[in-house]
Amino acid sequence: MIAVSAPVRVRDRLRSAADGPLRIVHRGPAAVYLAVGGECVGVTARDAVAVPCALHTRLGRLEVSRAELRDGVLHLDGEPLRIRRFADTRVPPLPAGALARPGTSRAGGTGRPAEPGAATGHRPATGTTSSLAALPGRVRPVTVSGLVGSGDGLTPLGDDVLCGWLALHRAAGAATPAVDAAVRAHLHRTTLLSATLLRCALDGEVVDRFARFVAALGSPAEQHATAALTAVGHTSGAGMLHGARLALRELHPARRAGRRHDPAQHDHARRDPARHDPAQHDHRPPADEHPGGTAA
Amino acid sequence: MSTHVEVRPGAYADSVTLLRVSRTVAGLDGVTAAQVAMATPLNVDVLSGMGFEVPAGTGPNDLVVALRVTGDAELPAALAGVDTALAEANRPTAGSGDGTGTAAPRTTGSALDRAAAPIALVSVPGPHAAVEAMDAIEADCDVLIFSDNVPVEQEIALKRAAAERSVLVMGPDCGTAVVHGLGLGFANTVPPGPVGIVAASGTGCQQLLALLDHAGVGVTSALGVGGRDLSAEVRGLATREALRRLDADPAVELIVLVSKPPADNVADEIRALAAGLATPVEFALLGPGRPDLTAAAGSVLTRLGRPVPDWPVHGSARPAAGGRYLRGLFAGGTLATEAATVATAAGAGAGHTFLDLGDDAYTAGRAHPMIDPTLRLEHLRAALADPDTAVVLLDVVLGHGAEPDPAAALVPVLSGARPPVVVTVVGTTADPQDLHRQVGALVAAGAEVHLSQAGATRRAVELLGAAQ
Amino acid sequence: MSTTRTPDAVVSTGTDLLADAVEDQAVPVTRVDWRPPMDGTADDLATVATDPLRAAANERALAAMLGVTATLVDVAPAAEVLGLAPGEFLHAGPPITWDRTSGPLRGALMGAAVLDGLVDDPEDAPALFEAGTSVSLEPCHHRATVGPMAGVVTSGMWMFVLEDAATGRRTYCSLNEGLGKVLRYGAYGPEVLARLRWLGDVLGPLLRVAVRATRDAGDPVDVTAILTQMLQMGDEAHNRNRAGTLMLLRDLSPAMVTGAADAGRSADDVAAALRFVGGNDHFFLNLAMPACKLALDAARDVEGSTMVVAMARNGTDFGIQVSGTGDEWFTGPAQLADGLFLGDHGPADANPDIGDSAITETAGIGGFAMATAPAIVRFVGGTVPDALATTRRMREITLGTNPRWTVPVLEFAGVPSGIDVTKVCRTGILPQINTGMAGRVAGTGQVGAGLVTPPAGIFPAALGALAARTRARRTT
Repeated sequence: MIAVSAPVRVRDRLRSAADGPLRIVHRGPAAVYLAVGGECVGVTARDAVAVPCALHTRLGRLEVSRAELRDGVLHLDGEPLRIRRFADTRVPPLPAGALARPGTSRAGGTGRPAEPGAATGHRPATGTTSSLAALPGRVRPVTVSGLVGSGDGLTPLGDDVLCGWLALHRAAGAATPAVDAAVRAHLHRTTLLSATLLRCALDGEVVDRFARFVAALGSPAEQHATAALTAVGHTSGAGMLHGARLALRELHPARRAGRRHDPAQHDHARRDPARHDPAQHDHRPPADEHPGGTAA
Repeated sequence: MSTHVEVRPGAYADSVTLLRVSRTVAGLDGVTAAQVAMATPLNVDVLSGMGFEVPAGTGPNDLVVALRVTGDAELPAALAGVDTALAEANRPTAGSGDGTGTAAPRTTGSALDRAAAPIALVSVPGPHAAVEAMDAIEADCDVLIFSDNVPVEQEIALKRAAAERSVLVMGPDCGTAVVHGLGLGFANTVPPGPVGIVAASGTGCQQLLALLDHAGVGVTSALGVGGRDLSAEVRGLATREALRRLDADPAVELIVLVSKPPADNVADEIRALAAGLATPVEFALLGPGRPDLTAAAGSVLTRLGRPVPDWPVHGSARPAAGGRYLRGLFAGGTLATEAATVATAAGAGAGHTFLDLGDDAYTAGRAHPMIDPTLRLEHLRAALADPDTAVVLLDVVLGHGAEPDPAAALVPVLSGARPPVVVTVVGTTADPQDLHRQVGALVAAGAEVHLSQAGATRRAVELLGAAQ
Repeated sequence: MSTTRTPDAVVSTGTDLLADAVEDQAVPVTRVDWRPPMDGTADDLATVATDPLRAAANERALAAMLGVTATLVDVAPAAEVLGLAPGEFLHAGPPITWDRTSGPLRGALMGAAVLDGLVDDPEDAPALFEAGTSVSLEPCHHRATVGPMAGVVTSGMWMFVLEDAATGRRTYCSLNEGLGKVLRYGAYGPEVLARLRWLGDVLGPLLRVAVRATRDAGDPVDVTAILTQMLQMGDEAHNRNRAGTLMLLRDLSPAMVTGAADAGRSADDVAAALRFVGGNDHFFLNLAMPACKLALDAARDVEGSTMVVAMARNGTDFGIQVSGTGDEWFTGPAQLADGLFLGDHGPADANPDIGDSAITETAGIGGFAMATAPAIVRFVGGTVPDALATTRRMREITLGTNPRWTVPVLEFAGVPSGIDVTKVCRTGILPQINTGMAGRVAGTGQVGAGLVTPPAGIFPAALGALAARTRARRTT
């Protein structure tokens, strides 16, 4: 028996899937990804990034040749992985100070308003910057098709940007039904793992370092949390950070206009105990269309 | 038949380890009874009850090895078995030392000096707990003190020192905590969710975790504070810190405070503190004339805008046939108290038993009944055989730290018993014991199984009425 | 601390079952190998642990000790620097009366009485000490002094003078006589007395002129810094002082040569002095000890502190003093060392533990720094793994480590420093002392070397006194 922690959605995914052998989508010493009923379920080693669609072990490295499901329990080479703890993958609510820049709110003496979440000086690596520059500069229902599946690897960069953008909006309590629908419509264009992570982001479920980044926004811990996020994967962290900053920039004017993302109002909203609870998968119904979109 | 009692001064192992050793040795060929225990007064009584004579002058720091073997020839093998089991139990396990031949740390402070950790778990015998806990506080490390029998003045001193450093002291006698999903002590596996709990009662907290889990509501953290925290002496020192922690946690949308009613002016202070928090606080204060835990769970659900479900009942108790009394035998202290309160309110009358086998009096030098069922099984056998017993009420608490299969020990005792048996199984679907299997086994043995302790108690009183 | 994340590690002290339950949730656990404390200490431990003064007091005491830099500022007769008059004898360890003295202390006092001019024949000295009218005995420690083995100091002996420049405080120690038949091991034959006279007539004055020259040039010998270096060169500064001794020679020999004339000494005298110091591997011990004493005295008298500030033995009793209990000695019977014997000597010839040199262990070196001195582990009957384990084990009973005194083989970990009475009582781990063994019979000299620990009972006694003070503070 291998004791693991896992998000509730992974437990539910395994329970609802049919017993039998599972296809291994990707296999490495740090993580193994399996196809389970149309979604991807991962298994991660001790030091791997805790993605919100995986079971997390304390094993130093993984060597897996065979995976199967028995009575809703994942078995790797015959060894059951028992979920002994639920991991919390919810993106936390955006802190009250996240949209207000500390200090002068001026960056680099350019006279340009500082970009929210950019005060820390953490920039993606040069190569990533040019790749990011090649992607659509805004997230709109019409630009989603240019993002989903755009890039290389298990989690293409365009998907990482979308994940960051979507999760940041979930953190702000801002519904984005049109973009969400566009993302869902294009999920078939990307890898199974990346499509699953996009589904997680749509539900406000993220890697732990993204959650810590959001919680740290506007606090002294922001710089450290941003660096930690940037270090995720080759480019994934940088992509998520980019998406989050796009979202913050769009949400920022809405706040200035005194609209529904006033931090005080937001704080009030977050303390509404009837808000979302992943144990129920009962997310708040979409409100009006994306306010940042109209302001920009 | 040959009896052997041997005192080993200065040898020490904790009660759970010795429980394992005793079980291992008792299972050896030629051994009919075995008890390896520290010679606390309680254990000396147990040994006497087993027919072993402990030499005068044997004290709580002495290890007693008591064996009954089928013949003298079996004794050397049995003693060798004791030594093997003790050596095995004392063998350093994974996590002690660093694999480079470095000896394991000898104090909590030494462990934290070698590698920082956000939380320490202290479960040494009560007279030694404050010293270990203070190590953690001085290392700015939160600490859960599982140990009971810690003097209240030590608790106050610990919590004052902790308050100066904003360290959280859970306990003493804190049986249960959940910190962002990680269960400490006896804790159930719960999904994250909007609720944060501050609990002065371990099993009270577990009942709430189980009921909310059934209702589909997750709990982000449940911070224990120890049963005395809201007393006039301790004045809620840990409760204040725990409330602040949960308020600072963006994942928590509603805080629930589970406790006996605080001492009067302490209650005012805590309410004032709660009123100043950004997160709303639901008070679940237990006691006569107050809502029980099940009602408190209902209030929490209502406040979250969730429907309150019908709490599940499995199986059906056999009809009462004679007897006059309700015999309640509990592993959970709060559950025992709540059963007594609910039964009284339901008009059960006098003469009934609500025994808390996790009380200090039953645990000095012995493992808690959630780990070691022996004492409760003895009481249960007696209660079932007593013609005055009309109905038996039990709790079975699942979760991390508890016995791996509690139903397995109960089923042979319950099967075929005359009095009706009502059991509260406090557990969640993700608990390691497998809630459904536990419930199924108990139902098959003729018990009626509830999730709600209050519901189980009312049902037992109803059966009592039928018997009378 | 924060509870807004899942703990990434847990320390578990107590039942394994609860540690298992955490590990079963895929979170790593550090398990403490907890065992009950020394008998009868539970209440006192809890009292002292919850003393609100303790943590800050210990922090202060340790910092005070670690902050001291000892420099060698003078060499002078004890009469001059300690004001000792003939007949006033200092000795190692806690206070003792003549009737309870052991063989080596008796032998040393007998020889010292001759040196002090009280008697001509050492065999006449016992009557003097029995009468007690013209002589007095006092612990070195009471006069800011430390003495190895018997530690006997008389008015005419020449002393090293160490100073803490920050405060001007000073400590003192005699000049080391070498090994074998020497006064500090209880030998008092003519050759012993002749060597002591040479120390006073030749070596002392030469060292004085050199030490004063370096001091006056603004470059006094930094004893603390030499200790830092020698710990990286295989010395633990109790039973091995070879590197330290040679570094001292390096620092002083030029001024000894140039100052010889001023001291009225010939080139032959200088050569003899350099040969003597260079040939005496233990010469630096008598600087290491007062340097440790200087550091530890800075930690004295901090109310609430549980730190040991002195461990010392007089051959009969082993005594400790603790920062939070003033000048009170907590004593118990000195133990026999376990180790190797010289020549034909065996355990029956050895006297119980003696000397103020355990001040080195009190300061975190000697046995506490055993890991850094693999060259001598066999001499004291151990192995290299034992040596590493010893230093690690001593960390279990100290308040901290010394950032200046480090052990290369342990990744430059600081030596364990500041023995905590409560930790000794909690773990039952006794301070490990490297020591020489003196012959039981007066006049014998050294018979071996080995490892020794204090009698366990003195730590609960000290703890009891600390607890009594804590309780008294609470009620007032």
